[in-house]
Amino acid sequence: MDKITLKDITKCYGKNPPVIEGLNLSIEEGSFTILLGPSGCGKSTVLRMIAGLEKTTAGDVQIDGVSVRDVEPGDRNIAMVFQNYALYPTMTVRENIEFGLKNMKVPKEERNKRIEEISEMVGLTEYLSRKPANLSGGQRQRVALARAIVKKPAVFLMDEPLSNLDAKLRAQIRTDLIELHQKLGTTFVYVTHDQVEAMSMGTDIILMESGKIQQHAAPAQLYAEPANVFAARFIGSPPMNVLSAAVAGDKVSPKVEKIGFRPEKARLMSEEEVPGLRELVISGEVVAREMLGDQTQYKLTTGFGSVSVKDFGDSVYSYGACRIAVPYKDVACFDAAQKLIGFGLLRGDQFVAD
Amino acid sequence: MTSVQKKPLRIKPIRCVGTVLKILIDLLIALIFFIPFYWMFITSVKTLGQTLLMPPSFWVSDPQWGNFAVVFQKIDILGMLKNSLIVTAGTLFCQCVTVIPAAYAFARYRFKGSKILFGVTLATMMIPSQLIFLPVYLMFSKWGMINTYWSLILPSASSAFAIFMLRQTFKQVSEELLEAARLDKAGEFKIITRIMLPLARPTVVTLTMLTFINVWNDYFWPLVMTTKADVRTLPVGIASLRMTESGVNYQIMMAGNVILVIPVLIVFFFAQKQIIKAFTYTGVK
Amino acid sequence: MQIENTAVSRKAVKLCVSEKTVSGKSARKVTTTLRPYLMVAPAMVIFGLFILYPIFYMIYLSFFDWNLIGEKKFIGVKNYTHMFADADFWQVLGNSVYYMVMVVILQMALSLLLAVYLNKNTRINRILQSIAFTPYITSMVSVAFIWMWMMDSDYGLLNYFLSLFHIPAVGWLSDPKVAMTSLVLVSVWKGLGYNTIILISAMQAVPGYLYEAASLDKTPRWKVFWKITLPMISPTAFFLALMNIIAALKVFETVNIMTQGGPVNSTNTLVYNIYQYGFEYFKIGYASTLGVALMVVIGFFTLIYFKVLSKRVHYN
Repeated sequence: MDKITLKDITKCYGKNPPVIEGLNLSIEEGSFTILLGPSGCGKSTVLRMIAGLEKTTAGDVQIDGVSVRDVEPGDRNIAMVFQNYALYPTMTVRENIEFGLKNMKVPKEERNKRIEEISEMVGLTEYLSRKPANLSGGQRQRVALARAIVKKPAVFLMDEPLSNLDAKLRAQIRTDLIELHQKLGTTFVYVTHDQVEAMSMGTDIILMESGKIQQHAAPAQLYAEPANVFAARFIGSPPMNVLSAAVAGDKVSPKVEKIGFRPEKARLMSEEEVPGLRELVISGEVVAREMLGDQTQYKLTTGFGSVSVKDFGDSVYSYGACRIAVPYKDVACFDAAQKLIGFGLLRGDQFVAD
Repeated sequence: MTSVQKKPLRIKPIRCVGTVLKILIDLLIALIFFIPFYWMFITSVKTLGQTLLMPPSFWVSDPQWGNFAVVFQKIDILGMLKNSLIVTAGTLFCQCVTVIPAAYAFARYRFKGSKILFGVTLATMMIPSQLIFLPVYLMFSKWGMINTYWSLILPSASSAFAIFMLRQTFKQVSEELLEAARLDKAGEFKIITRIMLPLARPTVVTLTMLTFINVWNDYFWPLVMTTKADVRTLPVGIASLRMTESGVNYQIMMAGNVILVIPVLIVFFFAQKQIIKAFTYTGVK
Repeated sequence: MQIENTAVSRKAVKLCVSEKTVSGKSARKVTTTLRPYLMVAPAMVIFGLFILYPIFYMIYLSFFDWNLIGEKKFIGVKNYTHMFADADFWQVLGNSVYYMVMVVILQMALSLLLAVYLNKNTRINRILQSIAFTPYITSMVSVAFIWMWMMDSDYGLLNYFLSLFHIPAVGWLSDPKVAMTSLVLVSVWKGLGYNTIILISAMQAVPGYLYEAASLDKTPRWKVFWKITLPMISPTAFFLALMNIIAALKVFETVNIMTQGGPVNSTNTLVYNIYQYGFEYFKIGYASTLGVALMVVIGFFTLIYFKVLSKRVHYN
């Protein structure tokens, strides 16, 4: 069932051209949906429109199938975690958590019970009487979470909540969030520009670019079948190599404009090695090499552009001339509109491009 | 050798003279501001004869505390104290009601005409009450409100300066905080009282102190707006000690003056830093 | 025609169905758009009623002859022609300008000197600043009383001090040539601490690297002050100068308490003159005319201030 539906949403700021136009999207009940995209793609705006902090210029936002166009943010049964936590600086941790409950007219015993539960759950019990200024970044983050959870909302909205934390803490809270989502079973909508966060936490990812949805899919599918060149190039680290179809010569249909392959699907081979069956071979030159232990990342220049390769083999290739081999089945083909046509649409046994 | 010996010899007296000079100038500055107050205190406990002594005496062995009793006899100090308190508290209350929402609206809403209204607000700062007291007096007398607390409170029931300062403070609060509060189902009133005002506390304290001292000390407006003693404030009452049937009695005037000055001096002594900060607030741009 | 009809009726149906929500919506929308206006309204009403309206009322009254009891009589610009022809007015205006110029020059010069002297952030300097600030927060009534007593020509402390140096007694408040200057001294004494502290805070806001650069160049101290400190604090000094000008033009308390405009009108100022015509002679129309004159003078200096300020800001 759809928890949140956006219908034909358009958003303009003042008299400027719209940042979002005719956007449709639905978020499934109980999902951990990630709004992913580069900065300025409109993902935060979408989130803020769901929260009611931003008015839609046209179109309708529905929660549980009911339009919330005229429902105040405080009455939408949602909670939000902000990028800078937005803790009330003059209130103690306890007052911060309690503020929303008080406004919702939750009776006192119930409030105390919930606060106790939550602070136990996120490990804030001993900090309840402190002011936010006297907390560490991670603790503030937890207060922000507690403040959201305690309201028992139907939807959690999070706007890049981890971006102010250091890498180690971020990884830890990522796990915490997954756990939390499993435990509560409520709908999470999470905005980020970090694909690692998106892939690791999300059950659904909505990839956006310049106000448009590029792809809405589960993480595995987003990785395996990027709907278009943008999705292909956004996901993966390093992202998919996308080259002109000329690299495959006459082995592909003229409909195909670009071909792509993931760095981890390719392997390197020396000049002498004989390529396998149904493999695309590109010659190039190693210009950078990073050894990461379990794998080695290479950057090569070829006649068709630069290419990244993740090699899991034992042999290490030295700088200089080298060849890249990609199985046909791992070669994605994109049409003139940059849409994915399919994988492995190459003819013949092998092709060696120079 | 000789030059080495000479140098310290030459510098030492100069340094000495410098320190002595510095102490003397410091003392002079302190005396310039201290002596008048001291003179007020010492005169307030002199007899009439002692005030007319030449050369004057700087110490009194038999302080005439009775001078203060005379002041209480001549004017209704307690009544005027009450009036001062009512007017000050009333002004503060009215300013809270008018200044806080206006500052919040100017800081946080974009609405048609806000620029014009804010411009008008700033412009009123340039118009002193000494310029418009006559028409305001005529207005109040037409309404039959001369000799009421209203005529003393209403004209200063709002403050452009306070609106301006509070608006600047409110503007610095991050939008995210207000959004969080809105999501917590807080209405605008709660946002102002629970989030904005606590954050703006230093500014609010400063403005309160400024208004308090200004209204407490004000002589001009109550003098102009009132004709009867029973609504007059302390400064007007004390000033009336000047006019006596039996010539000028400086010891009585100074005794009244001490009553007027003491509260402010005590407050200043304990909250110097705050008060100086509050007043210099106006000048720091 | 028909198509239009159905469209209209469909609209009507829609309206009927959603009437309740529509009215609820629009009511809410009205309150949200009205909210800021409601919030600024109390303040605006106060400003309008007690500052803006009185100004227009005053200008209006300046064209009338009125003694409060009888009818208002429209007399055109007669009040103005009378004012310009009146030697008393010119004397009062002269007194006000003299007072203002003296206060501003003395105040700025002395506070600058004192600020330089007390600039270093030491304990004794902070104490001296506090002492100098005390008169500023005491009531003008108190200050006027104290100085009235100290300036008494027979038994005053000032003349006693002068006598110690064998200087003949001065009629501080009784000599027409001296009285206005005496009031200037009182005003400077009251405001000196305030002006000094503001200038000090401006001086301490000058970034330290400027002084470090100067000390590396071995610039003499007076030159450092002249070339770095003074230009850096000049916006604050200008601001203070304007504040002093306007405060000086408003002077009333000292005049009313210490001299009542005398001797021989030598300390009568614009505000005191307005007060006299309004509350002693009951010439409301003429008092309003004097009020308009005061407004023009204050407006003139305010304008200059903003011109200078905007230029400064522009160059920065």
